Amino acid sequence: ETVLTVSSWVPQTHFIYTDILLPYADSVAKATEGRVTLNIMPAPLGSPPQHFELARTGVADITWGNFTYEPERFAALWFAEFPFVGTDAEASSVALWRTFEAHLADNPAFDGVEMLGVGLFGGGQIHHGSKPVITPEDMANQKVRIGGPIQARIMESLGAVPVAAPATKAYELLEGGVIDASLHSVESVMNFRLEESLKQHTIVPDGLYDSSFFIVMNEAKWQSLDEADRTAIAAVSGEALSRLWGQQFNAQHEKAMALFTEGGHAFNEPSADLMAAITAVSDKMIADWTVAATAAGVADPAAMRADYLAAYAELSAK
Amino acid sequence: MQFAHMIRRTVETVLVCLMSAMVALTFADVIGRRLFGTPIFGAHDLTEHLMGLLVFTGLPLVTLAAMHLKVDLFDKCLLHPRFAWWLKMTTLVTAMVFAVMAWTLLGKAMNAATFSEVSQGLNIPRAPLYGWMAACAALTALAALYTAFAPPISNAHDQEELL
Amino acid sequence: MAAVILLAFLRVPLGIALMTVSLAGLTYITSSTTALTLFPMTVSEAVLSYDLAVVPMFILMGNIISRTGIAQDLFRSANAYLGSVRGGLSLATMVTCAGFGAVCGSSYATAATMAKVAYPSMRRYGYSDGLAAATIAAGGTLGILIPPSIILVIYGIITQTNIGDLFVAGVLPGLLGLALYMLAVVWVAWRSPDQAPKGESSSWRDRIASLRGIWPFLFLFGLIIGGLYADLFTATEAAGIGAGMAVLVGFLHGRLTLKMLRTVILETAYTSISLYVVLFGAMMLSKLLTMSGLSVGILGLVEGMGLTGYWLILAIILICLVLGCVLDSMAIILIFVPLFAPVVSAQGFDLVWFGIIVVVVTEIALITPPVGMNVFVLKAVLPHVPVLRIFRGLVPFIAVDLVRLGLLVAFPAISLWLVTHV
Ligand code: NA
Ligand code: NA
Repeated sequence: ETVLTVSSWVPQTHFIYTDILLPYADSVAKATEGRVTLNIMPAPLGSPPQHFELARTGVADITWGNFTYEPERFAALWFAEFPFVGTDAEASSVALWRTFEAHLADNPAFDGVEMLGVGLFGGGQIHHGSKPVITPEDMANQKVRIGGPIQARIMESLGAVPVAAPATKAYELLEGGVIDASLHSVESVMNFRLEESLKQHTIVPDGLYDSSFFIVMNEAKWQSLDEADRTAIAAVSGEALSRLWGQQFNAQHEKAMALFTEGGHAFNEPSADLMAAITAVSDKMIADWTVAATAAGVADPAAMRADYLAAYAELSAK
Repeated sequence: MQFAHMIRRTVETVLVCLMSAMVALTFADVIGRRLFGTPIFGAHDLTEHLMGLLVFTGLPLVTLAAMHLKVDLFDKCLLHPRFAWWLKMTTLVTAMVFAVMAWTLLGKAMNAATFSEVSQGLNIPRAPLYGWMAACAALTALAALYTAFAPPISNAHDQEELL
Repeated sequence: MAAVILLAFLRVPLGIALMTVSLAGLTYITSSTTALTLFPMTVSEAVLSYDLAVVPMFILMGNIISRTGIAQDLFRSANAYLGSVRGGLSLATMVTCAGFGAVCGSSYATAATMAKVAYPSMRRYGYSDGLAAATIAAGGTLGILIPPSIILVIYGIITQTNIGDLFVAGVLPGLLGLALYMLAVVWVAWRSPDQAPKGESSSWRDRIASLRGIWPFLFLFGLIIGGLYADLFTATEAAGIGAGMAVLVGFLHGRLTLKMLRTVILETAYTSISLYVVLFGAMMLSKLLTMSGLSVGILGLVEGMGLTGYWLILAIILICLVLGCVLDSMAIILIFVPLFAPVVSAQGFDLVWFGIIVVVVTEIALITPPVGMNVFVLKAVLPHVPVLRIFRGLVPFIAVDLVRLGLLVAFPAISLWLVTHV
C-alpha cells in the first residue's frame, strides 16, 4: 500500500481542491483498488512558483502549479498563453494534453517528473473597476494587475500600465486604488471575491490570454510503483485528468457568468481596433516565441502550435 | 584590526543603502502612482531581492556580534564557568546549521542557473542572488566559529553614538 | 517540540534550535535528501516574500518614531493625564501602545518602539523591571488587532475574507483589550504598590501644552489611517510610506540628523535579520508539522470527538493556546487557520468573527512562555532584563486576555457590530 503526498497551494475551500484534486484522489484509489492513495497535505510545502521543483526533487510526490510561474524554464509552453487559444477550457485542456504528448513529452525541461495532466483555464479577460473597456483608447494608461510576462507584454503594447502581483493580491490592490483593472478568467473574479469591485467585463472572443497548468509526479516515485498500478493510474490521468480540469473550469465559468448577469454586471465587446491591436501583439509574440522555443529544444514550434489549434477547433466543435 | 574595522564599516554602509533603497522604492512607487499615474513596474520584485540581499549580507555581522535571539531562563546556572564548554557547543551548532545552509543554497544556486529561475515581474535571474546568499551563509558559519574562541565583536561603539 | 524547548532553554539561539530540530525531524520522517532540499527552498521563500519584507519597514518606522521623540511626545502627553495615578506610567504606556498600534501593523515594532520610549521613564520612577517590560510586551500585542495589521491581512488572504471588514472588526476588541490591560495595571499597582510608584502630577496647563507636542504623531496617524481608509495605498504599502514620512517629519522637526538616520537604519537591519533567522526556523517547523501529519491528526481528533458549535470553537482555542506557547503567531495562522476555517465555516460561524478570535489567541501566544516572540523582541532591545522576570510580570495580562477571549466568544457583536453598522 502506497501513500503519495500531494502539496497544494490553494485554500481547501477552492474548487481546484474540492472539485479536481479530491475527485482525482478518489479515482486513483478506486483504479488501484486502494493500493495507491493520495494524501493532500493541509498546507503547501513551498510558495506557488516552487511547486514544480517540490515534485521534481521528491519533497512532495505530486504537485500542481502554473508553468509561467517559471517563465524562462517552460518557454516551450508560452504559445498556450498567447491570445486566442480558446475559451472552452475542456477543449483547450485536452488539446494541450495531446499537444504535450506529441511534441513535448521528451523535452528535457520535464525531466525528473511524470506529467499527470495539464490544463488551461478557458481564456483570461479584462475586468475593469469603473468603466467599460471597448476601444484601445479605453486601455490607455490604465493600471492593470497582471500575473505573468505574457500578460505584461500584452498590456504594455495596448498602452496600459502593468502592475505585477499574484491574483490573491487583487482585492487589496483594487481597494487600495493601486490598480484600475485586473486580468483574470471570469471564474477567478468570482473565486477571488472580486465581483463587488470588478463589474465591467471585456470579453475577448477566444480569450485575451490563458494560463497553463501542470499536475506532476516525481519520476522516481512513479517508477517505484507496480506496473499494474502505473497502468491503472495512467488510465485516470493524462487526457482524463486534463479533461476533468477543463470541465471544472467550465463549470465555474458558467456559475460566475450566472452570478454576474444576476448582479447586473456589464459585458463589453472589444471594438475592431482593439482586436486589431491584440492581434498585432499576438503575432509579434508568436514570432519571438518561435525562436525561443527552438532554443528550448522544440523541433518545430510552428507545427506544435498548429497542432494545438487544430485539436482545439476539433474538440470545441463537438 | 584597522582593516577588519574598515570592512565592517563598509558592510554596514551597504546594509544602510539596501534598507534605504527599499523604503525609497515603496515611497516612489506610491507617489508615482498617485501623482503621476506611473507605478514602478516590478517594485515588488526589487523589494524581494533587496530583502534577500539585506538579510544575508548582514548575517555574518549579526552572528559576529552574537545578536541572535536567545532564551536566557537558566542564565544563572548556564553562565557559570562550569558550563563554558556547553556555550562553546552552542556556537558550534550555530556554525554547523549555517554551513549546511550555505551548502544547500549553493546547490539551489546551481539549480536556478540550470533552470533559468527568474523573478516574476522583471525576470531578474535568481542564481546570482542564491550564490551570494550561500557565500554569506558560509561567512556566517565562520563568524559563529570565531565567537566560539573569542568574545563576540559587538557594535557597542554605535550604541554609544546613540546616547 | 520538546526538543525545540530544551535546546532553546539551553541557550542555543532560538532560530538555530528550530532549524536543527526541524532538519532532524524531517530527516527522520522522510529522508535527509528531502530535508536538505526543503531547507534552502524555505529560506529563499522567506527572504523573497513581499509580505514579510513589510515587517522591517514597519520596524524602521517605529524606530524612527521612537528615535525622533515622536512616540516620546505621545507618551509624555498620555503621562501628563495619567501619570499622577498609581501605576500611571504603565497606564500611559498602554494608551501609547494602542495609539502606536494604530499607525503600525506589527506587534514586534510596537513592542520594540515602546521599549525604547517608555521603559527608561518607568525605571526612572522606580517601577519594577518585570512590570515595566511586561506592560510593553502586552501592550505591543495591541498592534496586531488595532488596524492596520499584518496578521489580519494574511488571515484574510488565507480564508478569502474581506480584509476591510477584518480591520473594522478589530477596532472594538482592540479597545476592549486596552481597557482590560489598564484594569490589570491598576490591579497590580493596588496589590503591590512598590512595583508601581506614583509619578508626578501635571497641571492642566502642562497637560494642554503637552498636546502641542504630538502634531508629528497626529500627522502620521492621519496620514496612515486616512490613507488606508481613503484607499490611497494598501496596508502593506503603508509600511514604506510610514517609514519614509517618519524620516521627513524627523528632518522637519529638526530632531533627525543624517548620522542618526544611519544608526537607526542599521539598528533596524540588525533587528530584522535576527527576526528572519527565527522566521527561517519557524517556517521549517511548520513544514515539519505539515509533513508529519500532526496537524491533520489534531483535526481528526477534533472531528472524532464529534464536537459541534461552541464546543468546537473551545477545542480550537485550547489547541491554539497550547501550541501558542511554542509557535509564533504567524506560524499558528499559517498552519492552523487553513485547517480549521473550513470546519468552523461549515458549522455556520462567521469567518470575520473567527479571525478576530484567532488573532486574540495569537496575541496571547506572543506573550506566553517559553516562546513568546514579543518578549524576545523586548529582550533584543533590553538585553539586561531577564526573560523569566518578564514572563512573571505578564501573568495578570495573560489573565485579562483570557477574559477578553471569553467575552469575544460569548458576544460576537463586540467584533461584528461595527462591521454591520459602518
Ligand atoms: Na495595528
Ligand atoms: Na508563546
